[in-house]
Amino acid sequence: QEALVDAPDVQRYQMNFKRLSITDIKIDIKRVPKKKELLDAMEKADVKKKWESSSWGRKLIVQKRRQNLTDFDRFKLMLAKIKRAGLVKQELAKLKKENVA
Amino acid sequence: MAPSTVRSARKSRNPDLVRGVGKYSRSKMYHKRGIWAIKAKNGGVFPRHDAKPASPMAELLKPPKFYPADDVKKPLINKRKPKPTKLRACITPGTVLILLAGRFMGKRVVFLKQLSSGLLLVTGPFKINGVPLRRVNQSYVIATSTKVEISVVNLEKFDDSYFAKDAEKKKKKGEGEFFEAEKEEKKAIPQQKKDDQKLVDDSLIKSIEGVPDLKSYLAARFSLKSGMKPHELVF
Repeated sequence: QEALVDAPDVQRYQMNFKRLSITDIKIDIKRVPKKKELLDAMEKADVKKKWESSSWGRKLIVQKRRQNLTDFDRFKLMLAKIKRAGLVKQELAKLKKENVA
Repeated sequence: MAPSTVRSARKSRNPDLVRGVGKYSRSKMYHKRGIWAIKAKNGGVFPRHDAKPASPMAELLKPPKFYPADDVKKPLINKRKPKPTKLRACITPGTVLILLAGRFMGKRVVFLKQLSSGLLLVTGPFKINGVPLRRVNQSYVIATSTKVEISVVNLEKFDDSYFAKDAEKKKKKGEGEFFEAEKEEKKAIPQQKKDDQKLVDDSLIKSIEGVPDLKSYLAARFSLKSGMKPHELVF
């Protein structure tokens, strides 16, 4: 079974239910709105903000950022990870020392 | 010299009585053709012109005196000129490139310019990662999106001839001394090249040190780690 599906930056098209999963976010529209009406309704309900603050939306954002890291970014990330790990190990060493004493 | 009146194709003034027999005799034809008048005009001699100097074309068109016994096939003419290598749009002066092959495999290196042979001129800079001014083929390079400020450097003196090998000296043939001689021949790099390297690198290093972590980035080598998929990576 197929659903009619639309998004602000895409042409309206059909999609199989199997490829869709439902979210909590709802907008106020009539059965088949015109594109402009759809956009207005989405603006009113502030879909974008709700999506980006949801846990799924946040995960997607992070995934996309990771995907688009350049080689230099990955290098900087590696340095940051090492630094963080170093700090953690320092604290751990301190705690170990206290425990022994 | 265009004639004043256009001449139509010359008809013979000597009509045929029968095929091969003309109506008028030789002397009559002489008179008819007006050779006597032409001679009179030219001072008693029939006008003649000197032979034209033999044109070189005539020489070529003459049938050859000698034909070789076997037919030797001539290769077809090839007028193809190879096009200069097209530089990828993502590679601009100052781009950081990753070298994929050779002695400096995995090194991240700064692109300077494309030479006339199509090869890319590249430098470490030498102080940062040990890569000197070097030529590299575009195919053996990944372009990253990281750029370095490069406007100050003057690169006009560097061309393919700068990188040409010196003509090898003739080696003396001597069996016993052979190995020793080879070891001693390790070439020292001329001071001129060292100075050129310094000249190019000094301004580059200044702009590199302006960006945090860039220096250590260029010093490190690139390698694929577990889980990295090159076709999914954004460079």
